Amino acid sequence: MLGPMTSSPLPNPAAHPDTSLAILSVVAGGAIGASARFAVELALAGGIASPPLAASLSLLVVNAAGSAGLGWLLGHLERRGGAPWLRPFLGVGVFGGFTTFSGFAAHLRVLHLQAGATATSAFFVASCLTAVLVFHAASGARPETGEDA
Amino acid sequence: MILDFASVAIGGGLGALARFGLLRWAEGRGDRDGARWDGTARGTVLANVIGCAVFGLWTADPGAGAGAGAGKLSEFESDVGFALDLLVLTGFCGGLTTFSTAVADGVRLRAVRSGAASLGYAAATCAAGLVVLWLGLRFGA
Repeated sequence: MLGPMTSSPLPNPAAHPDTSLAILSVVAGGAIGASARFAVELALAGGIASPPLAASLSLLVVNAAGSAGLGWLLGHLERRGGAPWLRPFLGVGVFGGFTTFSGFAAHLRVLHLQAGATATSAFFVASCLTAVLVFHAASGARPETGEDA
Repeated sequence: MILDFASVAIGGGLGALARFGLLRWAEGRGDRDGARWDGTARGTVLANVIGCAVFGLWTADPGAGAGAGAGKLSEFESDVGFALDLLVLTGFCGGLTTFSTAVADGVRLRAVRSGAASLGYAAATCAAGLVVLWLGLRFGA
């Protein structure tokens, strides 16, 4: 499985002596994160009758929760440090794989076709604002005035 | 159900690995003086744009233009076709692209560059993602 990727562009392996551990961490984390996102999608699709609403809520929840998780991780690493596999596993893998931008972009298009421009704009703004706010809050950074995305 | 989750997990692992490769490559090229974004941000944009393009190409409805319906997502022909869609779309594209890292990049750019760089990064990510998604739907059809 890792065979084809060994030729992927890693320009300076000497700068990353932990590359094989990092790669394993990223793959395992990505598998966990994507599966968890799928589980949230299934759960909300089963509980909410309207497919566009279920998909909107699931993307909103997933992207906000993953952003909060990454904010917490980066704040924690900055203050206390951590094992070298922690960021590849949790940051790149779990939280990176849990959240999705392609699903977000594709949903913007579908929502625009099915529910119109107002609902699409509301979903876009709510997604971005919520994710930035919870990222900030979870990172433990002091709140600043004039916050924007 | 097990096949579904396995497909998503395999695709997600591969997608995250591809993003990690892109990130290391972009970071390895270093930060040019006066560059608007740092290497990390450029790597994230690359992953998000490629993921949107693949998503568009895969969901393109043969015989229809990009403006028609929501693509072929609702027309699964078999369990295997459904599992393959889950592997490529929910797994690989979802794992390759990331919303959380884009948020982290935007917040970081605001601190280390400027508010304008941060807003430009967010706008460029969204615009480029939607454009390549549309191109994928158009040329994949």
